[in-house]
Amino acid sequence: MDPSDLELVERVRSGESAAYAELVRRHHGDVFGLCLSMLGGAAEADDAAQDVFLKAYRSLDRFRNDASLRTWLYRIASNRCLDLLRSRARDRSESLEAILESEGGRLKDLLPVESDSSQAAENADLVERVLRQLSPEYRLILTLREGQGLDYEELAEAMGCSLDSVKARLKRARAVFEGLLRHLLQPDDV
Amino acid sequence: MEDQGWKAVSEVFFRRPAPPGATQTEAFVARVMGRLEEEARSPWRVFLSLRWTAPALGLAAALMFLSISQPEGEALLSEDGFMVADVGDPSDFILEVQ
Repeated sequence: MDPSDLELVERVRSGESAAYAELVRRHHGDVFGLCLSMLGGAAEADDAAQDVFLKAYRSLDRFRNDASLRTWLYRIASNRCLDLLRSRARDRSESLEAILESEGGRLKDLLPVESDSSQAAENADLVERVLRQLSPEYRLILTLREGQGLDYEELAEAMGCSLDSVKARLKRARAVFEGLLRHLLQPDDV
Repeated sequence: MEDQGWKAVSEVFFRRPAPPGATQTEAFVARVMGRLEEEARSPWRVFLSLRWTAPALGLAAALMFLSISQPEGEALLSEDGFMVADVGDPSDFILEVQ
């Protein structure tokens, strides 16, 4: 039977650093997935995910045993992605209107979705450009909820806020994103 | 937007990426463990990589520069310094009582 995350954490704390490799192996998909969804590029997501696991290793003494390691890693990854997105936002130059002008037709083709992976890959750059118009905080909460499938309690833990705050932020983020889409696709298309 | 519409939108914009393959994960694990070993060998690198290190070092350098570049002429004379300074005959400082 495989050891639990907590057992592995205890082994790492007692000096068995090889146990950490198993933790990285287990949670790579979640952490890399969040970084990729948030940052858009695979190379940047890989670097960010490495930073997350290094930071987690250094902070392992502060991990509370009653918490979920997965959610704790999501929290570290969220902070890392927010830092990167905020620094990227400083030199963001593309406006909503610029996307609309150059990609208006393609945007309309995005919906309704077909579960065709080649089409998804083709549209990935456009999706990323639209998501860059969202604030990093809204993008994060929508990604954690819709993409990573976290429930409200996990979201509260990963974002370090209350359940009520999670619900309010999620509602606001969704409203802002819907407004953004409406602006891009025209009211009767959404 | 109705729930059905939102579901379609979220599947386009917030689709969960395909999970990395076993080879990709093993390569990733090796990179992380390699960096951890490197850090264990030279812990000062961690210090240099912290985001507050550069501003802190810059501030320290600026303070040091300011402390050694203070112009001598503007230095204030302390009370003790004033008393022992060679400023002429002490009687010059005695006020005349009318």
